[in-house]
Amino acid sequence: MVSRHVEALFSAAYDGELSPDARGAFDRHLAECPACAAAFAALTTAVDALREQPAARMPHPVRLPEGSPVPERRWFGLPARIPRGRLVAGLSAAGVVAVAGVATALVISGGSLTRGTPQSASSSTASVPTAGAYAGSEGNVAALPNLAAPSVAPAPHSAACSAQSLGVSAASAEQIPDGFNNRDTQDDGTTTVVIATQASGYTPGETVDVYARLIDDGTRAVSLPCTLLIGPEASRSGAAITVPATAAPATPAGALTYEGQPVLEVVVPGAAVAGETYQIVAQVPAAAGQTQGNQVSLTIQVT
Amino acid sequence: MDDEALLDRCRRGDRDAFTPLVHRYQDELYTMALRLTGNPADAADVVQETFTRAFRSLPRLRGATVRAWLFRVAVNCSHDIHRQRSRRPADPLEDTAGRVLDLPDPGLGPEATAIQRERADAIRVALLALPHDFRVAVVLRDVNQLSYEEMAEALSVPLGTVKSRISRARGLLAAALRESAAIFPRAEEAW
Repeated sequence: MVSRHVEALFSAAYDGELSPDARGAFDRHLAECPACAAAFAALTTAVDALREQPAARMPHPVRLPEGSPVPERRWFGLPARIPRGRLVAGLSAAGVVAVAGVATALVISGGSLTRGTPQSASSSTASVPTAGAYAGSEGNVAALPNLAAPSVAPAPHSAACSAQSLGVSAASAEQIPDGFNNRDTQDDGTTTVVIATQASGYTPGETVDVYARLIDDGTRAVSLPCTLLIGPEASRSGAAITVPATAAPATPAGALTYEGQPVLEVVVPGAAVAGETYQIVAQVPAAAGQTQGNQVSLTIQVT
Repeated sequence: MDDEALLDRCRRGDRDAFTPLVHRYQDELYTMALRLTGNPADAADVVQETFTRAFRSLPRLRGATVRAWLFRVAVNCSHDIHRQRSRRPADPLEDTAGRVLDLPDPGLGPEATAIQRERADAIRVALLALPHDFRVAVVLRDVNQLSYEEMAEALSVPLGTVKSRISRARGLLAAALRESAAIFPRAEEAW
């Protein structure tokens, strides 16, 4: 059996990263341990085979966009191109942080402008255009929150975002597709909520596929929950996450599928910063007689 | 002219300064994307999308080398394109096996070409079987030969994470190739 200790050194030994003393001890161990020697030889053969594969050539010329590589500036240095998808922000505590983060990052990116942090919610929101202003520059930017909306209190998303019935069996809905490794399943006795993403770390501007299902424990009916991306560092009230009133829902199912299963899609804001956390929140509709439903959230981190 | 000087000209709006960066990195990025996706058409899309994104945001690049940053963008594009492809059924006209990986070396005879093809196929299958993060790690290190530091920059992870991912990925690769006669010829076949 291969000693874990020596096996852990194989990669560093292959790269010549061991100190002379460590390399000496490593070689002495290999001389005495046929299993380690064979395993190291196999690793070397495999990695050498990969390294020996010929380099490939780009088969056709790269087409560059028209114009100059310097981004056009709008509103306080906002670049012309907004990351595809929707930007999640609002006027609750969490939303103000998100808006401030966007504005600050974009001012910095403008290069020639003075760095500044917005002084208040009104100053940060006033500089950011509303949904209509974005829609023209990129066809598929939809449902951007209207940041100038005067609403402050978190509101339920019953109108703009509601669960959608899915014609699949509960058993299949509980089968999270392979590759969705960041996952959670919760059952409050009435409804089972399944929510999963492929990874727990995403880069700014990256699209996050979300597998989310609501399963009625009684009827076994399956639906897609209203799902939102909240952050960064979403504020919490007890166990519940405060959902900004203007947070935009994930792209509804229908257009997107993963191996035949409908999935939702959210986009990490392009101005997100490594280390921040966002929550993907699946809303569970309020049961009869209740005013507010539950929610299940999954954390992703910006890398 | 080095990358930084070209980048400086790009930042000042010089479109012509971007073209040498494309020529310098397109084949390296294509090779990376081909190993990550296993599919030439997807790999070409990754390179095209990488330079499109880079063209729009390269002038704003701060605090990273151009090379590491381009790899970062290309890894993200590979991930995105792979996910887009896996959402829809395979096009029956598409060669999903991605067998046209590399042109055979014209200097090799038919037998050597067949062996080279078998080895390429075995490696392609083994790479595609690796979890994404590990596939990226072993490709950046052993295909593109990025340094640990460049990888940490490209992947935005600590150096220790880079080393552990490479180590784990190489172990998984060796295990995946262990049964491949093209990589590990049996004694009786090795004549």
